[in-house]
Amino acid sequence: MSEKELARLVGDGDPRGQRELYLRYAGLLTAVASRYLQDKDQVKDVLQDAFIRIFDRIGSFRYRGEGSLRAWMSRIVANGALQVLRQENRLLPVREIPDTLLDEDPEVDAVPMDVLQDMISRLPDGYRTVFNLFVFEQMKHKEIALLLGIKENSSASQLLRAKALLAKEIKEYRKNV
Amino acid sequence: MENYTQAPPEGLWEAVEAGLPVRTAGFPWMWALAGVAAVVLAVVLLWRPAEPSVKYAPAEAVSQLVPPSEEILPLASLDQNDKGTTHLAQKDEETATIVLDDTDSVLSAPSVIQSDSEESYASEDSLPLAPLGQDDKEAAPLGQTDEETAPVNQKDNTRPERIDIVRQKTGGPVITASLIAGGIPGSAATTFDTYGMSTVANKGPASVRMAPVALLSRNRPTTNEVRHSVAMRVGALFNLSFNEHWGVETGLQLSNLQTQTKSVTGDMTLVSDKTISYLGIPLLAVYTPVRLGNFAFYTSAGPMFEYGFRSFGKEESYIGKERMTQDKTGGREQDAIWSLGLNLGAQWMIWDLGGLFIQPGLSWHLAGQGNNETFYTAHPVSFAISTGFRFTF
Repeated sequence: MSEKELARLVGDGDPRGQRELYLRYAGLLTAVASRYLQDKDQVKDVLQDAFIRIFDRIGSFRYRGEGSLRAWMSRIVANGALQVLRQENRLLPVREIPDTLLDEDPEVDAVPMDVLQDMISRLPDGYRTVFNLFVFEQMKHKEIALLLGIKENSSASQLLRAKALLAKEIKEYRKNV
Repeated sequence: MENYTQAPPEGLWEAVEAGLPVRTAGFPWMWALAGVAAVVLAVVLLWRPAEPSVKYAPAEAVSQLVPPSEEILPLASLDQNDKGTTHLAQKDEETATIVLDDTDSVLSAPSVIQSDSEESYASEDSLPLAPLGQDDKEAAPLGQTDEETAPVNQKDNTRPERIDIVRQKTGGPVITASLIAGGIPGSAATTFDTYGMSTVANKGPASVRMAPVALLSRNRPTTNEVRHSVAMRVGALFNLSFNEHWGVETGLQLSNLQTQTKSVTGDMTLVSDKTISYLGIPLLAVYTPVRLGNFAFYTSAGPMFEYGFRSFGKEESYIGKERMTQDKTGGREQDAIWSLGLNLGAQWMIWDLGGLFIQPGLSWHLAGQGNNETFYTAHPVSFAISTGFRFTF
């Protein structure tokens, strides 16, 4: 069943369609939520709210090609995670990175996905949020700034610091492997 | 990494399922109302008033043409010709028409008929006012024993040389179809919200999309201005009149409900414009107490079921005067709403085809319905004026 057909089935309120959507995308959306939140209970709460909102609002979803449904659902999960972070005031910028590491990009090819996911989830909240929005949600710094209530150059600098921290983590991982 | 997946938390699906609204079979009101409307339409299209028929004319029917003092002979049954009337005279042009209703009451009958020739009665080509059913020229005229004389109006010494007696069935169904158009001007409500995702994000029709503004507010107040209106309403209605006073009306009505939202936080503005289309089926009882010439005044009342089936619109965000984002929104909707209506109307029959009407009325949209905040939820009781043309056939 294509993404478009699945969206139409769920839009009709078919319970089988809802179950199929869950089985197909729950793993992906769990990874999205886990990139923003470290607490497993918060991840579950965000996913539960996100799925209910997806089923409720899929009638207004406009199919724009393969992958558009996945992107729409990912955005709903990301927004839910951001709401949690915002309510806990965990989106403030962090300044802990030695400047000597700012010019290095993390080399991720040699790192397993689950290890990389774990590294990302251990980033400070503010860095992790900007990193996820820029890399995975493919938002521009201007949009990230609008979303988080920060300046555009703050978004850029926090992405740089997130990448630097990741590079540091990856270096240490490769030393120990 | 964008394809990276993780095992969902344990019990997630059960938690999601528990949070979904319970789907009940529910009575298919939309289909039921459509079925009733189809039956009414079928009756309207297939039921024809009975043709005028002539069975017999009681003596009283003729008494208006005959002086009361004259003896009136009872009349026999008429033979019907292809027009349902019996012509008593073949030649003359002077005709008196007596119209009877279902109860043999006289609806109309002329009191005086001018005749050009006093001798026309005696003409061999004209039949006397004999007992109906007879074509014997020698038959005695009504009320007379003298074949040389005919019933004469004592006042003017005139007589009808021909009588058409027509039985008209009154109270039969009259079919009308009407086209309506109108709308309801909008009203705005302004609310002031202080910063907080829980307050701003949960109010207003664009609650989800307003989240970015809420995230940016940082303890600055947010002003929300919401305006609801019925942008357009058109319809085609059919009215079946059972008698002079009572009838039933149904049909299809399309309404576009528009909601415009403007949310301002500091120098950041979010603007959304959403229109939802509703298809409605009314079922109204119509009572016409007064008819004055070409004018008729009526009242109607009854329920209406409306189903919101689609939405369309746009959303824009601004920082200062610079537009940051612009998105088109819309898609399928599933929104069901019941309402009760009460109308007063006036109609002016312009010609036989039909007439213009104007119909102000009140609608009460029942609370707790629908998934969207619209004009109906903001104004459960609303006043509207419909105008249109009513076809009669």
